[in-house]
Order: sequence, then structure tokens, then C-alpha cells
Amino acid sequence: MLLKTRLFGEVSVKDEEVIHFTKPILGFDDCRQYLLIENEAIFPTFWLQSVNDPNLAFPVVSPFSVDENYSINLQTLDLDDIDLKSLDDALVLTLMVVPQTLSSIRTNLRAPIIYNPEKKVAKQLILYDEKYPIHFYVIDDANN
Amino acid sequence: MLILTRKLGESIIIDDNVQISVIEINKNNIKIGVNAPRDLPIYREEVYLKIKEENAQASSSGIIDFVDFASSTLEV
Repeated sequence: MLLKTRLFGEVSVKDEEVIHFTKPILGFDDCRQYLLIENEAIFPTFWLQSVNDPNLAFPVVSPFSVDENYSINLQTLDLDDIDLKSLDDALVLTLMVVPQTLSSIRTNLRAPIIYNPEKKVAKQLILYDEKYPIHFYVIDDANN
Repeated sequence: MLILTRKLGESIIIDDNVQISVIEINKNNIKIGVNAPRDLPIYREEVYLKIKEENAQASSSGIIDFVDFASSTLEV
């Protein structure tokens, strides 16, 4: 299948590369299937491109790469529906907001995407602990 | 909206598996306890709305030209 995307032109979709979301990205209930796109020639480098809606894509980043103190503690029940035994086997990504004003580039550390790359299932999880900022600014020192 | 009056310690039951109890009442806030299946997401409304809005903002992000990006990073 060929997807005519808003940002990346024509992208070919291979079934085995499609990631299925067991819980949606909040507000996008009808879009449960995504491709993880990596392109080092652009910023941001990683994107979740919706398969259901070619116009929809979210830039993502590893929260550990933007905040060296980031860590999350999940209970096994949180991992059940994406078929994971341990968080060590997951890829954790957070959504980025990339507005025109570059100093406002931020990522949401409160609602990480937990992704099981082996089974190709993922979900957005909202953490209860308020210590995780919804607006974590990536470039400057606006967080401090 | 269905409106029910409850006293301290009383509950309401929703659909067999969700129990919402009044745990504590103070002047300006009420502590509510929720017993529900673990896979049922429960959010504070303002957090729910904020995350929904932030997700929507993320979806309108664009790709940044590396030249712009490098010069802006140097400025900060």
C-alpha cells in the first residue's frame, strides 16, 4: 500500500511495519495504526506517521535523550495489553511539539508512548505523578 | 446530567465494576475514591484536556530545516 503523506511524500506501507495502538493517542481515537519513520536528514528525526490518516504525523523523541533524569516505573498491569514482561523490552517515546518558534520546541514527559517493537503494539500512557512536565522544553533552559 | 446526593463514606456503583466513594470532605475539596478495573483509564479532567490539547499541538508540528535549526541553537 502506498500512503500519500502530508510531510513525507509517498510512503510505502508494509504490513509487518505497522504499529497498532491498543490505547489511542488521546484525541485521535480513530487512528490506531502508525509507522515509525526515521530520517536523519530532517529535524525532528523520528515521526509516528498515521496509516489511517495520511495527513496526521507526530514527531517523537526518546525522553531519556532530552532529560537525563527521566525514568518511569510501571506496574506489570500497565504492560499487559502491549504484551510486555518488562519495561526494558520497550521503546519509550514522547510526542514533541515543534512550532515555528524554535525555542518553544517541547516534549510531553507526562504521556509517553510505550512501544513493544517485537510485537508492534504500543499505547499512550498518562502518568499520574505530577512531577512529569507536560511541557518540557528541549532546546533552551526554559525549564529551569 | 444525573445528580445524586451522597454522604461521607457512601458510594455510587457504575455498571457492576466501578465504585466511586466519598472519602473525605473539606471546605473546598472532596476526596474521591475510585475502585475500577485496572485497565480503565481514570484522569483528572484538566490533565486529560491538557494532554489532549498537547497531542493536537504535536500533530500540527512541521519539519524544521537544519540550517534554521543550527542557527537558532547557536543563538540560545
